Amino acid sequence: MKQEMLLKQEKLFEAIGHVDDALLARLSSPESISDAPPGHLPKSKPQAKTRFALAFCAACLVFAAFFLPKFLGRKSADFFQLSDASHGVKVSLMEKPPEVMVNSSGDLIWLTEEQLFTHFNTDIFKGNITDIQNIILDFNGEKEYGAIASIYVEKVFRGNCQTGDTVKMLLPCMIDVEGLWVSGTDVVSKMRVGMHGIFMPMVYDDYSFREENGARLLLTDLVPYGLADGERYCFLQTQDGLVFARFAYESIAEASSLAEIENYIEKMLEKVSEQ
Amino acid sequence: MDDSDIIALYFDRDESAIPQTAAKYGTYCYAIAEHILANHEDSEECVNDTWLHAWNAMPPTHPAHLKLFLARIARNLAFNRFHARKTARRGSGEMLLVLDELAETIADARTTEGVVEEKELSGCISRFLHTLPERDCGIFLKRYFYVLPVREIAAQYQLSEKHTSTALSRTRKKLAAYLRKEGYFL
Repeated sequence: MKQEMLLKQEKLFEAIGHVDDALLARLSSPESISDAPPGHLPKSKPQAKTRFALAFCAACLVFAAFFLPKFLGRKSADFFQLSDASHGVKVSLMEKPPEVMVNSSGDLIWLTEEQLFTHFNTDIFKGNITDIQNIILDFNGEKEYGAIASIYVEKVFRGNCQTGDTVKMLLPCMIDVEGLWVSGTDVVSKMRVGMHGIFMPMVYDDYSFREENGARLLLTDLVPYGLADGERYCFLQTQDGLVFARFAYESIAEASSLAEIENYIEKMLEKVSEQ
Repeated sequence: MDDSDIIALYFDRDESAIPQTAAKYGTYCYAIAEHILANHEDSEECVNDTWLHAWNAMPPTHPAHLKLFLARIARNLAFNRFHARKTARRGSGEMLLVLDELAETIADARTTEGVVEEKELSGCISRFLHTLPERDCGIFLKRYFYVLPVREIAAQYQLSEKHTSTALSRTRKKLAAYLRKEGYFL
């Protein structure tokens, strides 16, 4: 039993400074004050001359980034075309794995089985994986690696997609790269083209950003969906049997078929809709 | 330079670790300090102290996230400096507002013991934050970890200032209830 203790606001402030990395890692940094609307100036702004020079350089870089590829004969198809809401970031297909990769991983948020259906805004559907493309996300030089999977939708449990649609979703790791292991992606890493599964991706919207190193990517510039983590939001029928995060779904830990998962999902959706 | 390469410089006791860290995270750490101290000179000193602390900490510490490791050092140093000169109220900026807001959260606190287990409290707050929708959690941390002004947070989330303040107030109340349930208050 915890003992009652005196809390001053300073202690609370200090304690907030030690919260989980996983919580902070999802945030943009405070240096993204350039996200503020026009007319809002940061406190420690550079001098006017420097501001003008920086703005001029930025304009040149934007011009160069847009026009130079055309002049230099570079294929614009190498890079995904992003909207103005994204800045400082380039996303490209990965043709071969780099020699050195920094694999980032975060702790999984602990969620109950019910919360796995309610915490994030997710669509849930069964489908067949028709394509997987490994990608590099370059945030002002800081590289992250992932993949985009295309899923042919065969059955919808929840959401706005429809049977017969092919939807794309962002995966938290590259797929089928020899020697690669990223912690926290034991299930997703087993995805392969041709595989059937049930998927619960987050629905991205106008507020879904990834921000790293002062760069920002509006996720809907890439895909409409993304898996919240590499373990708990998909159920895969692999050659070696049914693969999913059994530790997170204790009530169906012994399930061996997608049909059992389907029944479970339908029951859970009924349960959470009653609340 | 990748974080792993920078950390390797610390472990090799290569002094280029500091300029490399400063080049990559100087602006970031300065922003953290400046939001707390609202003073350019103090913030710069704080950032320089951050590099010294990082140098002394690595090795043996091998942070999983270098950026967040540095953020915590900078934040801690900035807050200690703020606390030390609190009576002067010089350039206190947002920090006094943040502390006043947090004071509401523990308004009814009573105790029989004088020592707070900070690690335990941090763990409790983390568990609470994990229960929140992502946006509310983000708004809370931007305000109380990074000490961003409400108007900046509102702009980043494309909300009104009033909406952002309401979200913060709501989260503070929920935090108070959570801490009470965990036995931190009478």
